[in-house]
Amino acid sequence: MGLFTRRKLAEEKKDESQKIKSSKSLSENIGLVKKYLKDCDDIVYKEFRVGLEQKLEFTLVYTDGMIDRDFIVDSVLGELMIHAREVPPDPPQLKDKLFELVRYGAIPSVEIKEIDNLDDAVLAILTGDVILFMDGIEKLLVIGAKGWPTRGVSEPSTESVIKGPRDGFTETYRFNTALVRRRIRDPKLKLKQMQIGRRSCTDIGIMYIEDIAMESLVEEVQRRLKTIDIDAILESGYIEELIEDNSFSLFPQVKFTERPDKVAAALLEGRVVIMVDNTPFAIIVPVTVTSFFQAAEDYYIRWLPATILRLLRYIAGVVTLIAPATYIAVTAYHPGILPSELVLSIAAAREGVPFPAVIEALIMEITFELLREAGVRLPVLIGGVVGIVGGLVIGQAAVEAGIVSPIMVIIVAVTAIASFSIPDYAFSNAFRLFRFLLIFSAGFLGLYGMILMILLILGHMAKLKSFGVPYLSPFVSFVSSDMKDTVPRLPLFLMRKRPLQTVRDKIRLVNNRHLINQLEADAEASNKRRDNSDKK
Amino acid sequence: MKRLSLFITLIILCTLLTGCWDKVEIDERIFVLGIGIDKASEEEKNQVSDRYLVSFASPIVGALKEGGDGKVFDTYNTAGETFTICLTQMLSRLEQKLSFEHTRVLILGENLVKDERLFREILDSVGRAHEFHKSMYVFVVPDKAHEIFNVEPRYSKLLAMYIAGIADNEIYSARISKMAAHEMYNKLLNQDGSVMIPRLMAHKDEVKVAGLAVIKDYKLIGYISEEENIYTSWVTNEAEGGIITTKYNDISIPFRYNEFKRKIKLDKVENNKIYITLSMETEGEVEEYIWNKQLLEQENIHKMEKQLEKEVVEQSEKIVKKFKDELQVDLIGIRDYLKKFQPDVYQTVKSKYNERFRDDIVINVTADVKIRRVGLLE
Repeated sequence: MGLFTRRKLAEEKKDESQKIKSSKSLSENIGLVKKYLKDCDDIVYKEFRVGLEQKLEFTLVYTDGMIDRDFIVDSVLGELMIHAREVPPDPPQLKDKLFELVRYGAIPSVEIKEIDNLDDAVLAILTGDVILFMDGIEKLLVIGAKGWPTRGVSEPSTESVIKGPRDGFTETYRFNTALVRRRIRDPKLKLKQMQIGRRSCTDIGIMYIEDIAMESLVEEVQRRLKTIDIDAILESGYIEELIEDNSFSLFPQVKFTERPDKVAAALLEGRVVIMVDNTPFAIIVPVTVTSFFQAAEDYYIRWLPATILRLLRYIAGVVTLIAPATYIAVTAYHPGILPSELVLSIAAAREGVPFPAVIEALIMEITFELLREAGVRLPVLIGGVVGIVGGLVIGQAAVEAGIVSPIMVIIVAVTAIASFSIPDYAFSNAFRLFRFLLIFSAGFLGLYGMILMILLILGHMAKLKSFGVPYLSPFVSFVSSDMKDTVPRLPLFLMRKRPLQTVRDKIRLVNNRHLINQLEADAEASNKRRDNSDKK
Repeated sequence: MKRLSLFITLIILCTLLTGCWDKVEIDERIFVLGIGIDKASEEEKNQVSDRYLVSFASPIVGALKEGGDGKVFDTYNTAGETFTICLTQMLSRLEQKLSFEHTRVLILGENLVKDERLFREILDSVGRAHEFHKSMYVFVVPDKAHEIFNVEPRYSKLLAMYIAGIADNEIYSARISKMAAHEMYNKLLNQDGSVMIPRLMAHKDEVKVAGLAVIKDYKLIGYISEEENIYTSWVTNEAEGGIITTKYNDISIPFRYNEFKRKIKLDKVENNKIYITLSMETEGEVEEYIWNKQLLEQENIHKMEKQLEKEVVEQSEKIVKKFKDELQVDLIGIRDYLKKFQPDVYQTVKSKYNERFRDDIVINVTADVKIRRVGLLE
């Protein structure tokens, strides 16, 4: 039975006795640890002696590169090796209380914990903690001294805003939870931690606000997370795939974000957030289709421009989905629905193009997707070159060679621009794929096929659920107060209730706008009174 | 899994077996912008049985793109026994397919309209066929319909668009009339085979919508001149905008109206005679008088209005008389009024209506003209 299986067993049975106990003998303990961590050359065993007589043998074990060396030197080695000598020795007393002295009085660390088994000790070493073994004492001390190289908090590159906070999550789990906690100083904001991944032991945190989020939702999230049994979680995408409702749907059923303000907003709406170590992307569940059209900035600018911009995004969504398909359907099946002048100019533009419209559209769309993919993978410097080549190839050469018509270029360009206007990357990926499905259906059956495909997509969306919440809510299972934050974004003071109807505490603000006007009215009235008395 | 694979198979079968059946790429279509239909003359017939000469006018898309001075539209003529045969004959002469989604004008030759049988056949075949939409404008030309397509308009490239554009000017001038195909069908049904179709006159490099062709019992019986067209539109309540000219103090005054209402009222039925009043109401502006004379004076305006009212009554009575005595057909809308609002009276005149219209319906005209604006000068 290996270490991991044993840990898992202990966890499952809630039976600590499965773990290997540490013994009083230092050499025995170290020997066992060394057996576990055989051929792990980055583990450091620092043996040292303490006391005037140098009789107490201690050993520090840690992973090189994952600890804060300065801290260990100053606060652990320094305190124990140097300051211990200054204290007058009283061996018999010391012998008994050595552990208490070290545990409570010698190491100025904020994170210190005692354990009594080697399984936990090995895991702590691999997590980046320092273990202090003391000869003759069974208990081990875990000293929190994590200090590996990290990236600082920086602007989230996938969700940048013009107005709003510019801090983004990093790869360090603890920083990320701190960024959220900084925004909600509420004891009801809970963070439940667990470790997933038999080998990676990745820290996962479930965040929710206790009196807003539904109990059942929190339980459901926990239940689904507990079902995961995998060797390693390297990114939150692993978690998504393992807990989402429908793995075969093109639509994302969770929302990723690297913005702490988005996470805070989601928490306040009664959603549950899953934080994963080693990735800046947190997971928000449940989601509805409207949340993919919401950008953080919508709530930081005034409501009227926010509404218009959001409307624009919805239009962009529709355009990116149906523009090429509509062009195919109209030109190949129903030219009657266009104005005559436009039909003639399209016909003139298409004259000499050897392919049917659907092939033409596919050529252009695939070329565009290729360029986009190449641009993403390439380093920034070469990416610019791709842009130039792509622009020339798509924009000019293809038209001049007579392979595609200029109108098709316009359609593809508009589609591309529109697809970048959808704020969520995962959601716009869904639209990219559906766009191709629509192109095929329009190519086969014209507008009729397009409508059929759109109905299929809508039917699928109507059936889809994200953690028990219908994907299309609030449009399905209609709740009028939820409509305030869908296509329009009404003024903040009108959004009295939390948007999700599954929350426990529904009231989020009290509209006191009338008090502002009241004050003005009072001032006016008193002015008038004064004027009147002056006249008298 | 089994159900899913069945579902996918069905979808693929459906699309592969039935998809694309009506797909015609836009560049494989010939957009027919104008259709001309004539009665085939002896020398135009290829076979003895041919009865129609149908011409299609469609733009040459390539030439449109170049924007050159050359001819930008082509006309194809074909003779056949029926209209549908003519359509199918074109397939054997062209690589592309005729497309009627954008047909703007349907032009009928005089000879065709004079022949009741042929005209009714054409009405039926154009009305029944699904590929024709019914908002194209219908015109009658005094000579051959296909000759219209020889006109090379001076200012505009596409003849059909040009004609449709002229017809759309109807709202500014009562001299112009337009009639969409669906309107024509409606009226033919409601007025027992009588209708007025705008007349199109061709000149060397322009066309003119002038006057109306009067059709009674599916047969052309005469024309209404361009001038009379104005008065006709008054009494039929189809006038939208236009000008009435009158003399005041020996100065010609154009009165421009943008609203003209005609109301029908049944006054009385006496001795088997039906007395009807047509009351005309119009409002508009006079923006032309003579320099340095005041126009904005209550008395002046009042007198002018009286003068204009006289003119309206006079002209309306004249045209009513023409309908009653000369053409002997009620295209004014009195029958419609009686039918809808005076069903009892209508029952008495229902049989042989046109004769009763001629003899027993007495029409009186009143007018109410209001000058609302006199321009920027006083």
